[in-house]
Amino acid sequence: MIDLVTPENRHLYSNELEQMWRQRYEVFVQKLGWDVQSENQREIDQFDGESANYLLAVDDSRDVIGATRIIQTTEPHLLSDVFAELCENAVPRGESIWELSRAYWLPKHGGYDARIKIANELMCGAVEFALLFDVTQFTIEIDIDDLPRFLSLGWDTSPLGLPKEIGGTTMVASIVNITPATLTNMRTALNVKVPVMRYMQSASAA
Amino acid sequence: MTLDFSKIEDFTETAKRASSLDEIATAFLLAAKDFGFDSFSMSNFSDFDNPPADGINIDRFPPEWVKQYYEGGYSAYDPTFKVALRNNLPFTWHSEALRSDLTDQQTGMYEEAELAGLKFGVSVPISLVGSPMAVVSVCGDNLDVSPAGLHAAHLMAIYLHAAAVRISQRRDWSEPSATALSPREQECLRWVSAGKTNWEIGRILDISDNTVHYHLERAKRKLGATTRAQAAVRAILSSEIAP
Repeated sequence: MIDLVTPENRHLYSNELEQMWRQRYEVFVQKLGWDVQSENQREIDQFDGESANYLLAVDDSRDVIGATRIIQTTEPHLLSDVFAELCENAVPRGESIWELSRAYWLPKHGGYDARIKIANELMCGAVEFALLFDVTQFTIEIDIDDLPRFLSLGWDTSPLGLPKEIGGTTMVASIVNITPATLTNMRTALNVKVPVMRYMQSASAA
Repeated sequence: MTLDFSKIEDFTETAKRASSLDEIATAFLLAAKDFGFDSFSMSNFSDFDNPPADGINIDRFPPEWVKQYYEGGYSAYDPTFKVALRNNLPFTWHSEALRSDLTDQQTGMYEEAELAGLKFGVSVPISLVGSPMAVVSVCGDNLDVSPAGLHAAHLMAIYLHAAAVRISQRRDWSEPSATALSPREQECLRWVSAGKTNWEIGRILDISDNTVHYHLERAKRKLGATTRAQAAVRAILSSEIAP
């Protein structure tokens, strides 16, 4: 199950977002050794502000087991402010272009299969988000070793620039075109038949 | 040599839409020339005597080198796949990753490759869980390939592999135009339909019977046939060869 967190319902998820920042520290700083700022064992940066959206993968106990961040490119984001060198031409920015970043999966049990299950759910959630929020393109910056898997899931991806070594990893920026067909193809490829994403709103009146 | 990124963009767009291995191979070469490369191969298996049913192989190396490779039985000791499995990172043919562990025979093979015009090569391993590991080797006679050129080859190799897998999985026997037999494959099949053995075909075409076997195995895979006779029949029926 994927919970959508937007600026409007973020106040309902303080606990879950804390779990996410601690897990991002575990994955990106401890496990992957990324050169990113962290404090008190939480990996949180200047793009985790009030306008960020998140997809949280939660298990039956409502514990967070994965997440990804989605930022509208009209706002400051990784590609515009940190990784612009990965773009050969201008950084794509626009109201219907959003950036996916800090995606991770941390199942409590199970190995590769459990991780892939969460990753696939997050990807389906991202496409559902795109169709609901009028997103026509996602920009992503990934380790080039992850690119084959993206392509194998049928995402219509194009490179934005040549791969470059950054902090010991060969990274590449790409732009993904999203259409309703993207969701259909993903669901077929992953044998998913129902929506994965839910949106919780405050129970109290405005 | 400055890289023209738009050539890479052209290639990745073609890769997504290509409907035959031939189309994607031609597009790859067109783009790769820009970065100092002029030949390549892609394979997701290394045992050419027993190619797997889902094996994919695209060969755009100079024909004289291909002939030498198969007649010399080089696939038996070509270290490319072993090194790729060990490192999982792209490696150039001059790198420590490759050269540190070579036998005299293997070093000899690379020397012969250089003589055949393959002076510089980079091999890109592509691994995807659930699929056999693939290696794309890109070569040229230009020793001055820049780091950007290597990154370009790496990126293009990934798109090439994705397209080749997609095309191979969708290969439909009712659409023979997707098979694109090479001239050698057509020749060998013509002689099969005339009742010749691999040895006889080798004598007729002046190539080894190992090489004949290799061409027929590739033709069988392209045509979705399980025997050489079936391959010959299918090739005739789809007008790829004349009876």
